[in-house]
Amino acid sequence: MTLPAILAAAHRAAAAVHGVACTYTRGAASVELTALRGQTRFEAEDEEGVVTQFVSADFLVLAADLALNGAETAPMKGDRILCDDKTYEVLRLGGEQCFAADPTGTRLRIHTKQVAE
Amino acid sequence: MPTSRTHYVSQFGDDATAQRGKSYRPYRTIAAALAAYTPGDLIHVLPGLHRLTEPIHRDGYLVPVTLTRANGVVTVTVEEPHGCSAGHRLCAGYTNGFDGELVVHEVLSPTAFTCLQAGPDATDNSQQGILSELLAIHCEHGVELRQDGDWAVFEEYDVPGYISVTGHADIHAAGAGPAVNGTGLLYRIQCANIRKLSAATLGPAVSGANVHLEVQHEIMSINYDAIMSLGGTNHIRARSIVGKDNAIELGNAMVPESTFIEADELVGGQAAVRIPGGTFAAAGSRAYIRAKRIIGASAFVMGSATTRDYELFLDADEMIGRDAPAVVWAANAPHVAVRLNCRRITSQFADPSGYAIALNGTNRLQLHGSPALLTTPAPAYSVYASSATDLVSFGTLRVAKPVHGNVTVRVGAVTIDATHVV
Repeated sequence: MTLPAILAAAHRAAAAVHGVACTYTRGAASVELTALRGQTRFEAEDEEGVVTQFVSADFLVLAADLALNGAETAPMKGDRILCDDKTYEVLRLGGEQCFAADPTGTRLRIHTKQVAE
Repeated sequence: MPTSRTHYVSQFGDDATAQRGKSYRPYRTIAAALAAYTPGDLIHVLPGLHRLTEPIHRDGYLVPVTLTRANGVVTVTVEEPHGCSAGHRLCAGYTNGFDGELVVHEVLSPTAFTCLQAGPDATDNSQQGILSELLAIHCEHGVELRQDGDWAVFEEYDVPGYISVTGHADIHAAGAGPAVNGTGLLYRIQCANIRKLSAATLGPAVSGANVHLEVQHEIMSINYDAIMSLGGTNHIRARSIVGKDNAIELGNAMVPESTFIEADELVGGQAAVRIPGGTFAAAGSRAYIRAKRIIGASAFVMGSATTRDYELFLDADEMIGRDAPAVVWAANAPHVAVRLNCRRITSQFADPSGYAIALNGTNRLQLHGSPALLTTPAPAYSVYASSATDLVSFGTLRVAKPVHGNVTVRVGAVTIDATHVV
């Protein structure tokens, strides 16, 4: 097994036990996904040295599963995820990208915040 | 903190005109800063893309020292600034004289300090010695410490000293060796706030002794174990630890270890955590591993017959075996004690041998946390233990299928509940 295949198998194994079903949307396009939930803590410091801490609601998905209109795509700021009747918006925090990929590009950790019930 | 002893490195610098302590005269390359480095200096790598063409390491160096001993306290005087502080360890002498190991007790001056003896008896008080080598590198955001050879961060075997890498660095080794390798027991490697750490070819990402790592994202080995053969005192935190073979292989060093590893997830192509078979006896070794998810072909494997003395505490929310039992104890290993504190132990292997736990031979496996043991419908048992084995649970054992073998439940009972099927 290659490392990307191992990572994909591990993701599916974990998702089978405690994955959540969600809908990823960009405009009119959408795709059904099974994601793992997580969080990332970000810190930002202003000019006066005040540190603000943010915690993003993360969705871990397989990159191959994130296909809109039949084409694999990377998450973009403003995309939305509907999960457990709550809506989350993809955003950038702390000057980072709105998602982080593992070194093999197999899994994506998408940073979001909840915007609606 | 930058000081007058700081070497600055910038992608806009110039190796020919760089000067220590002057941020406006930075070096262009880390290698040039390393060449100018003396013990106690700090190398400060400014933002930008930096590629290392040589591993970060410094040889120990010989300096004339005078050792005097009185009432168990050794006073060391040297001819150069020693750069030592209390707690650093000192290996004194290759020769047949003073061959003991010393711990720096009190710094008297830039050229003198006192030590307490930690190693064998000292018989000679005037020998050449190897002093601690101190190397500190601070990397700001965006720096990549990438080594096309074997090691990105490396120290010499059995030379006492210290390497510290801090900041938002990505560390990657593309050759056959580990990305971080601490082979000498007298050495300490500390990497804090590293973004990613990986090894590409044959080597593990982390190996050696006395390794202290804080990694924001992954520790990953693309073709081997992510972490293996640790000795000494190790403290490792990362979000994910991923190895093509195993995420963590323990108990494979010839010296005792005391290891703490914490991660969100451990992922292995074979086992996520493995203690291999063998005959090394590292008395007193122990490891504590905490992870939310531990996933592999098997989550934990105790290898073939072993005479090791090892104590493992494995603390997890979820242990999952994808293609085999989640927990495998392969053979007699009476010297190895393993405590699993887990909420769910799952085998997703749709095969008659896909037990949640499979035990062979004498073992010292304990379950804590009243785990639910989940399997597919295929196996006839949730736990399969050969007749010589005994599984001890310090809480109710929640299973979907019967248990085969000797099981002792200290608190509660075995409860059979058909919902524990995946």
